[in-house]
Amino acid sequence: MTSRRRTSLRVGVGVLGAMLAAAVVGPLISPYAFDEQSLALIGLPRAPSLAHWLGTDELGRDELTRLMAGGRISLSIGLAGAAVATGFGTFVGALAGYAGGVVDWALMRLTDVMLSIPALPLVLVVAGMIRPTPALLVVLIAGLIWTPSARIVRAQVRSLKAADFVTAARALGVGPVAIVVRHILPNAAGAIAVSATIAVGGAILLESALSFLGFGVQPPIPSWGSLLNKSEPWLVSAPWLSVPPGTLIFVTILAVNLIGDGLRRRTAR
Amino acid sequence: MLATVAGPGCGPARRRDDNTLVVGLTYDLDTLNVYSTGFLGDVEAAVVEGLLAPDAHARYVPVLAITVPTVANGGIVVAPDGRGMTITYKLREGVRWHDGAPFTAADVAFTWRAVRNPAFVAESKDGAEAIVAIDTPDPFTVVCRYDRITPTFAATLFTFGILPKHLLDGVDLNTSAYNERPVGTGPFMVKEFRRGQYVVTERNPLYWRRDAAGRAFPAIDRLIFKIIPNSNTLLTQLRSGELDLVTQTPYDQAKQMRHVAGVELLRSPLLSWQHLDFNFRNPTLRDPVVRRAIAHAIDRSVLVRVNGGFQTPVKSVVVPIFDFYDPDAPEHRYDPVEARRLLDAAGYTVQPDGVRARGAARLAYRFVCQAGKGDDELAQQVILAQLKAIGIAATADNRTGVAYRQARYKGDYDLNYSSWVTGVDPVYSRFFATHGANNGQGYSNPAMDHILARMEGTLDPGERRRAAFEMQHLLAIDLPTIPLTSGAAVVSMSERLRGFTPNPTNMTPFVGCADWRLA
Amino acid sequence: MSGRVLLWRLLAALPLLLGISLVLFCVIHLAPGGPLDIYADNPAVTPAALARIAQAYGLDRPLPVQYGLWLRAMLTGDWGFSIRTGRPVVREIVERLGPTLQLGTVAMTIAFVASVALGVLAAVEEGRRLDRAVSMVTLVGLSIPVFWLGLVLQYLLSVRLGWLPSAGLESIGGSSVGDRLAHLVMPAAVLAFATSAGWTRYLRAGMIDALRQDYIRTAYAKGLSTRAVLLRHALPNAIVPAISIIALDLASLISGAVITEAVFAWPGVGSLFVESMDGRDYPVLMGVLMMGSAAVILANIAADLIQAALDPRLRS
Repeated sequence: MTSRRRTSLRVGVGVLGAMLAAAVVGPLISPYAFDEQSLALIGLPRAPSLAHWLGTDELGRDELTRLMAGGRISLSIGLAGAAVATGFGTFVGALAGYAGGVVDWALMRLTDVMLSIPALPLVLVVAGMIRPTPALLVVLIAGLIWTPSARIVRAQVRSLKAADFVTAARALGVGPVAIVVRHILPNAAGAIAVSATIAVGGAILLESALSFLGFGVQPPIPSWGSLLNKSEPWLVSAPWLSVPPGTLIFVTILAVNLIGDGLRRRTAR
Repeated sequence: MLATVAGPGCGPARRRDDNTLVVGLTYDLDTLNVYSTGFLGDVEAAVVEGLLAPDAHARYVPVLAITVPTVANGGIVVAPDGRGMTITYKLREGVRWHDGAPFTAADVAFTWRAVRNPAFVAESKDGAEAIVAIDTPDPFTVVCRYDRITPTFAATLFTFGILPKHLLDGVDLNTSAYNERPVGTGPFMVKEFRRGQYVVTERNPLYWRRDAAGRAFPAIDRLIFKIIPNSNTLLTQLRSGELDLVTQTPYDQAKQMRHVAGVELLRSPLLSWQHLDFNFRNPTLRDPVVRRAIAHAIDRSVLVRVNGGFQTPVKSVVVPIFDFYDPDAPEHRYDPVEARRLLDAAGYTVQPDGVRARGAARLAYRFVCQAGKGDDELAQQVILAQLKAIGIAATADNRTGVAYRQARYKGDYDLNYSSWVTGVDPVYSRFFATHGANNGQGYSNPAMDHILARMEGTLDPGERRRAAFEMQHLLAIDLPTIPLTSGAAVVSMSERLRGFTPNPTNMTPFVGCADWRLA
Repeated sequence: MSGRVLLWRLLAALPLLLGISLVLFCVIHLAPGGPLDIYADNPAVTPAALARIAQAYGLDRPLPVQYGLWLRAMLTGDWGFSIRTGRPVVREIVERLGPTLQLGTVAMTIAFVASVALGVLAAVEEGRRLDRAVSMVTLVGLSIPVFWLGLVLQYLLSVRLGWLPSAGLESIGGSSVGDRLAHLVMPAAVLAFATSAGWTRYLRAGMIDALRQDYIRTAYAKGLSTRAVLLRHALPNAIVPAISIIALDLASLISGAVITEAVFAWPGVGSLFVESMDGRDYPVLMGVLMMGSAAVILANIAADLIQAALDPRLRS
């Protein structure tokens, strides 16, 4: 079994690494620029050909180049956003769940408020006040998606708090931080891994929605989410526009999931 | 079964054999009152009639009036002091409201009073405020006294529609049931209005118009408006035969509709123009050389091609369908060599990063258009590439709906791509006068203000045309905006529909729906 | 959780809601644009007319006054009047709540049953072919946007095959139960698929953790059947953390499944929200948002109750 765990970790890291490499190197070696329009092809999307392996879009731009360039935004924002969101959510959830009482009450009411404020008007307000930088974008995305992790980790911690092994550790004089970090969180790793997996997809898709609202990257800079959104009118007649970005988002989530699986089996009690 | 099948494997049979036409609307209806809706009145145009209406050639024709009043036919009399005017409408006799009550001059006078009533919250009261009194010497004569010369009188009040006095006198129009089930004199009557879903209208058996053979219009029994906010779903419903007519098919969808069996595409010119606006608050854009260079950098044919070939290139803000259009107005042809030469000569030289600059003044701009309008975003990206080709860097800063409009009117941009749709008699001072309500660019030229005031303060068609020509010449020199293309609505309709006439005005093609037939 | 605690939490929700309403009010009024901007493109609307409309809706008053007026309307019953349609907000929302609840209940029931079944099966078969298949399907569910799935289904089932109506709540004119079901199938399936992907993964993870615990081994050792061990001992424990997510998803449903409703022209609260957002119809927006907030708070209370009931360790 351990070898399979290691395999899933390796495969996950390998796939993610390959995609990152393609995103960094790909646009540099591509014969086309990501925003280069071909006057001859402008008008309708063209199907894959020898010159354009994944076809072109309505503006005669090379899809493969745009996909690789889009990976820069989507992978960095997707992974960073998910990491920040899951990390923060886990912290809040663990604190609320283990401390209980007033701390729990206050933190959970905070998540209630966060969940009640709809993203759309909030983003419009923020976008009207500040110009986004990539780091800010990551923080905003994380700010919009951390709550589910917090709630699920809290539920897990609350239920594990009374488990025999925790009671035993406490009886041995282990401090609360050590109990949470060393004994409870590893056992909640399954749920945390799932929320991280969900957060990656959520962050990648959210990035395109934020760009659309004027907060984030703007055309012609591509991202997988925006490539997918722009392909909407062409779902049926030009599937080469929608299938590749969708597939890449899927593969990213799959890779994160594999890594999560591998890490979880390694750390579980 | 009378069904015409759309070919095997292409979906369910075009189902109806009951003389019903189903129309797709892309927006959710707010109210069916022509005076308070925020949308073009597609449904209203089938139900409510005005005294006049614009026809397929954007010319006014009489509807509930017998003639279009003009100075020549004595319908318009200018006051001796030249300050006001009197317009007399002769009304059609024998017209009845949907409930059978007769239509008379009292209804016209009531409409004016109701719209002018300060308690009524309406988006447009323009025409109502210029009228100071209305006399009805007999049931079929309406005499309106205006306190100012209003050449654009036909574009307002009584053209939108007439309200029934016998149902609405003394009623609060803000909350009246009329807003959901309007009663008019039009060819169709509202039967059912389900919010967020559909409006069912039925043939008005009392309708006053007859065809040449004496048969009563309309020929269709039911006209149904279905609300489908997602444009892909709209296309799906056309393909599956669940819809028969969409009057404004988005271009990216229309490009794909050319070969769908059972659906016909009709290109219907619109009184609209797409344009690139400059913000005069930006110091380099205030330099006429930069504006001229940009004008030479844009290849309109690519803009047309990228949006499916439905638009036509234009060089003037006056759409060529109008007689105010000046074919001799100066024009900036696509000539990137000339554009580069102009910039070089003015000292804007290409820097190592590929962007031109003169001293600290870098030719880099923030370029807005409305996010989510696919057609606009495509055009914007073509322009971005064409500007890059002459060494000007523009970066998109697109916003959605209301946020975009705010940027547009407050001048929160350097470059702006968008379009205007107008009525038959566009009031150009709105866009180009120093204090024009839609002038968000900070453009101001006293000479232009003067020309516009002349154009909009006289009833003399010759004088108005001369002023319009001067305006076009001055716009080509000042270049506050570059007119790019003129729009066209793409009508997707079932091939069973006959007698459909496109209407280029903002009154929508439904003003002509009485003539439609289903084969 | 005792009755007293429950009552206390319900009471505590009121000031919380008030606070949320204040935040929401500020956020939507600070967002650029206002209800009158829909008139801005209309060359026939003069600034004087705009001022008059603003006055009619009280939009010219200071924000605190507007908030006070809104709060009064909210408490006295009609929730204010829609700027777009001039109708009471309560009427606007109630009209749309029916279709939203109909779609939501069906989709969530399917999603719940499917994710419990798949989550348990996948956990039992952990690492084997069935588990991997379930994994793949749920990951697809997490990476496909709802609009994509919806449009593809419409194309296949309505355009190509002609089996189902592509959109809408019911046929115009007459509608039977069969007709409404036919309209419901696709949107409910899409919504259920998208929702159950996450739930299934949480339940699977929870089950795997639960199956590794000592008491499961004890239960097996006592000679209980696999079925009894799974359903009576492992599942309640596996569900505990997942409940908090499921409750949140259920709560968010009351504000409508925005994209699903748009793709399937479903006249629910989500469509109303989008229209109202486009037109900055403040009273309707506030109404929908407050309803959503109340749902979130109630769902969290309910989740804590259910978790306490399922997990004896939490009852203390």
